Amino acid sequence: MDILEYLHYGFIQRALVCGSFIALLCSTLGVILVLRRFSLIGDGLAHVTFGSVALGLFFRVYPLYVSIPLVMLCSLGILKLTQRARLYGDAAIGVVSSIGIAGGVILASVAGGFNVDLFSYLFGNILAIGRDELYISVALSVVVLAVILLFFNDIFSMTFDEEFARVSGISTEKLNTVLVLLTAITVVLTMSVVGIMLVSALLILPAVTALQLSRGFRNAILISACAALAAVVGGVFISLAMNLPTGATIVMTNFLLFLSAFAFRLARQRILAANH
Amino acid sequence: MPVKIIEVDHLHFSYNAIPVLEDVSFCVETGSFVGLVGPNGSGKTTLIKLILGLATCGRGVVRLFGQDVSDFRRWANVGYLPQSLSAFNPYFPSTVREIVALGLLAGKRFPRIIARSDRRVIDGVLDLLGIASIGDTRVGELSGGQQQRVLIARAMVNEPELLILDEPTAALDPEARDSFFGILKNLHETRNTSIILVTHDIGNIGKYADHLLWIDRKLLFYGGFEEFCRSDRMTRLFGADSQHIICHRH
Repeated sequence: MDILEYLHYGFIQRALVCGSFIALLCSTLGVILVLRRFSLIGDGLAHVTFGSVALGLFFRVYPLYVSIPLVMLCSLGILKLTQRARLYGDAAIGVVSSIGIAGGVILASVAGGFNVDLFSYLFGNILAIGRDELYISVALSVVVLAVILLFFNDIFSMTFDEEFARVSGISTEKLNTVLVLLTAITVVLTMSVVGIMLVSALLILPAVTALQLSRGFRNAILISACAALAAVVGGVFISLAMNLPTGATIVMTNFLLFLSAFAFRLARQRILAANH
Repeated sequence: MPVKIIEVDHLHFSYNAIPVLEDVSFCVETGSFVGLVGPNGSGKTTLIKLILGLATCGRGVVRLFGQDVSDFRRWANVGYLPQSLSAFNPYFPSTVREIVALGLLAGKRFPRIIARSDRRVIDGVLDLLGIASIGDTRVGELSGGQQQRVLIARAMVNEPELLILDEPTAALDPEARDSFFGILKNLHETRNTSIILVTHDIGNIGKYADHLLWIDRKLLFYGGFEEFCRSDRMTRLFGADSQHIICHRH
């Protein structure tokens, strides 16, 4: 079956549309989180998502409806722990994420019957995205991207130098809160594409790929977005052609793009050094 | 007629119950060039952060342009150069122009957009600081001195009425330092920009500043240079040599 034939299938169309929006979301937020040295928040919140999915399954509520508010709440918890409890960001993420995992394991054990469902959330299945999930994902992606666009220069200033941003009249405390809430929404949406286990890969890999090549901040976000889109679209088709798990293939495609960018940067540096 | 742009009134600040500043009071008027000096750990940077509202004072009042600093919103009137260059992440993907443009955000309303017309202003300040040729260079690729000038350009791009510079010449070579002081002098004289400059370079500060603010947890001296040079109390505090260095070069 060739690529064009795949495009006739509704589940492939949904996977590509939803995956592309989430790729844009992750790649944009990823650059900001990586530069703020807060990229592991994706991993931490993914663990919380595990607990919240277990909670949803336990009470027989659609997990996305439980996960979004609960993960947003926990993201605020991480922020407050960092600001008030004199914890470094990584320690605060560790505290909240371990509670998320532990809660999920306890609920799974108590319920005893939804291990298979929980497993599907752990590794995700972009090809199984339904219409409702697609609409929610696209709508939330548009909202999150619009917020980032509106506060773009404020976020840039804060990412580069938080103290200076405050003296520019930017409310960095509010902006930090907005950023962690957006990250929480992104993590929950990304769960359906690559699964809980691989969420942080979609946040981090396109960003670090962009950092190999970019000169400016806007440029970095643009390259990150292109890399993420290429990885999602490429990953979907490669997984179909080679009968591989789609989420993991998207992540490996991202990694290959990172390796290529890294090799390109090294080669360019050597050529420049040789020319001097 | 000079107007008070900074009023610090009985300011106290402690960190982990250790007093950092005790009962500091002074006023800075428009058009002043104040050298803020004191030994390491004397509270200079803390004082700057309190003036800018980056830290909250335990007791006392700080007013900027007549307004309590916690309510102050006219940040376009203030240019700030932080002390540490350690914030400079060498991998941060940003060009010199992008960083300098951030200085314009204080004067913009939401959503703070850098317009094409701002490029002329940015190029102007890059030219003034002699870094126009590196406008499109990634900041991580610059030397310490060049990075310092980029941050100075970011502080100056808005043409603020008040410039607060925390050890701006620390990473500059003597030539760049003299050129930088020349630019400050020019700003001070032609635009009547008020300047507060934190420095250990007491020799040079005597050449340019018209006021000296000496702190060591408490305010030890605040006044004009002539007054400082005549002060017996200063001789007792710092020794004749230290005072001589400053006064001799002034």
